[in-house]
Amino acid sequence: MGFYDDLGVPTLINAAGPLTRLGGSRLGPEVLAAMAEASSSFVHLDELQAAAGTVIAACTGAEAGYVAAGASAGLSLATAACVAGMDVAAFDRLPDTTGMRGEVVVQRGHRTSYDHAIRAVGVRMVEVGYLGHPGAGGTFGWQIDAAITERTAAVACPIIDTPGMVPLAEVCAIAHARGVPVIVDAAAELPPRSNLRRFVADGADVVVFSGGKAIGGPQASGIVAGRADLIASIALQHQDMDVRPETWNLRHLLGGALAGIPHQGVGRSMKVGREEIAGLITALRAYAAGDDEADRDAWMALLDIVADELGEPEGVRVLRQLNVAKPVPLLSIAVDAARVGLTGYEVVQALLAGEPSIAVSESYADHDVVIVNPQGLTEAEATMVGHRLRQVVGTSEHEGMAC
Amino acid sequence: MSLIVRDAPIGSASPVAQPPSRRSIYAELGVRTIINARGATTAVGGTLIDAEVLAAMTDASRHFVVLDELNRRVGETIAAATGAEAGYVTSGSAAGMALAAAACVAGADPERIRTLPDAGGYANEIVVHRAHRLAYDQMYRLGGGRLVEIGLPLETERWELERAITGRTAAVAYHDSPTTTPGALPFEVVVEVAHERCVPVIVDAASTLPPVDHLRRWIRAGADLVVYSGGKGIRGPQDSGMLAGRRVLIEAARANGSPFAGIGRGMKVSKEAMVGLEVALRRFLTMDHEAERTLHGRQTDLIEASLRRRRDVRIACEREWADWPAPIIRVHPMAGAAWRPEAVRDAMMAGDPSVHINVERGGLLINTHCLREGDEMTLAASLTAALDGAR
Repeated sequence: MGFYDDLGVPTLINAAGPLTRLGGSRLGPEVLAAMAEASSSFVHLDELQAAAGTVIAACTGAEAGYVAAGASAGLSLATAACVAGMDVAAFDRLPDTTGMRGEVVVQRGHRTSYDHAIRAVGVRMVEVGYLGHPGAGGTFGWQIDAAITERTAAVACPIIDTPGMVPLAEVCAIAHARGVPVIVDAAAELPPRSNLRRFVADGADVVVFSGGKAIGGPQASGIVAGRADLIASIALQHQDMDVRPETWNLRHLLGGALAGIPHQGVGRSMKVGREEIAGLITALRAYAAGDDEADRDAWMALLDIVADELGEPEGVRVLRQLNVAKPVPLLSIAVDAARVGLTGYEVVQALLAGEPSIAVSESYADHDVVIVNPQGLTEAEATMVGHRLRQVVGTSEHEGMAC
Repeated sequence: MSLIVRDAPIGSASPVAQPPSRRSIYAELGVRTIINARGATTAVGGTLIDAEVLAAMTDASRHFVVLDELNRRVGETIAAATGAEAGYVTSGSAAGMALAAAACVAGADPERIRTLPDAGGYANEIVVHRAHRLAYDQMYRLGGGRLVEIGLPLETERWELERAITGRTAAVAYHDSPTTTPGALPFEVVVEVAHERCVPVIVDAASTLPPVDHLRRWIRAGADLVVYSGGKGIRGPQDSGMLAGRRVLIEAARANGSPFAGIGRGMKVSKEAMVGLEVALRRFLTMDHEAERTLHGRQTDLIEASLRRRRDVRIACEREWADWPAPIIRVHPMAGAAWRPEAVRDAMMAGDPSVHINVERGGLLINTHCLREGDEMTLAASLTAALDGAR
């Protein structure tokens, strides 16, 4: 009997992609081995983070790197660093930003519920620009420039495909001319692997990626890549600061960059264990050495299995989607609700309620389209997904039921 | 900027003394005419007015009338066309938005009308979806409103609207256009929540016509005030628009507008514009939209065919009536293509004749709505030349 069985928690087949609420991604054997090995010894966490940062820097082209407890935690830590710099009193006061640079400028079309992680540090989002009509122009660079004041801690520029937004490189040029750093949320922007370096190359001061999605690291891990001074601030606001000036590893900073030993910072609750660090670094090295084309071929093969099992039942249109910008192939299954007798959401529910339980992407379920994402599937699971889809949307079952 | 007059005959200072010129006024002024594949956009002239409408406008210019009386009369036509209790002619959609806000903030109270855009402590918050924010919503602020945003560009929950409506709320604003981000609450939910709290709902439906049914759908669904452009799909005067809605709110908008001395005084509507809108609206209701659609469909086919052999473009046509007033063609560069959308757009614009198209989402957006018969040939040739020129 497995662990989940023992707890009475049903497992499921994940055909919805690397979603946090479904468990992220599967860990490979090397990653698991590294985590097991890491847990068997003690280390200084700051030394382990520094070593991990070197690997992250090498993989991203950034000056420095850090392992966070997910991309969301990475955003909070990056924001805290932009607000507080190396000011120990500011570390202590957050999330109260009274008297500090407590504003983060963002284009209105870039707002998402994930930016709660930025606000969690105590900053206020200052929104600029508009959405919609291309003629009226979504957002202009001068709007960003005009919103930057002495209260601005950073400009946030998540990677989201909203039309009319000022592109990242231009945002960076505007912000840097005013001495303000740019934070990029690239949580789900892998693949392509080239994105590991792209946003840093565009000028971003700090970029966060999820560790538990495409990279295949531990679910509660994320990557922060960026300027060395910001990463240093992150470390001080994140790590256990129950240290003594006589023995602290970083005591050389005292009297220089730091006015004194910091108290526990705003990031203290977003703890990262040595197992996560070991797992993430192992996964990142393997991922960076991998190949987008090979991944895509493997995913296409999985989708072929699903599509072959499913066939083309009446009232169902099956389409392979290949997106150039974000090269994860998807299988979209559009149901004619009138002919199949089920809406998109009902198909999703039927698959979830079945045995085994299967989660598909419901992003377009309101248009009666369900989507199979191959990233979390094995071949056997792909066969099962196709088989169950055929049972659910195939007409034979409903004809039988109608009798 | 000085007015450049090219080729003006010497001694033509008195227009009355001269026989009417056979040359276009634009040629006389030295202002280039363009081929418009951007749709009914104000910046490139909005729309072309039909002869029947122009004749009525000419007729209107020969007599004096009481302007308020004329606007009330045309308002009846607007009400009938939209299914609303009442209607009102504005100087365009932007003016419609400003007057709609003024109506909800100041009502018809002369004292409050006088202090706008200072709302003087009265309820003036206008709740708007973040997904609907666009540059034009400045007009709501011009009318005395203060915008209170709810939701995110791609998601909004019902409780956000419920919580945003307070004693300080004057209205809830809604927006519809083919390019709206799909993150707003369904309109039915907005009406339900707002009306439960006795707050009116304003809809900015400026550029959603045709289809004809879009004239009625918002009122039918419970909107209290709907803003339309008169100078786009309806093909009325470019500087005309309409408000349709509940009588009390239309009367309040009227009290805030020209010819009275409120915030709308500068948004003047001429008698010619009122008459032009009246005739254009009647014409819009009875014209053969299917024939228009067929013409634009043919134009789409021709433009698509002119690109079919190219290996450096990816073409997607949207012919559905639902989203756009006319078919549109999207042309994107294939990976490794030598052309950039902005450069192609600029080259077409700089050509002779000048052809105007939009760039959106990293590709070209060709809107057939305002293409005249034959324009498609010129456009296709210009597009091919611009694409080839980029290589």
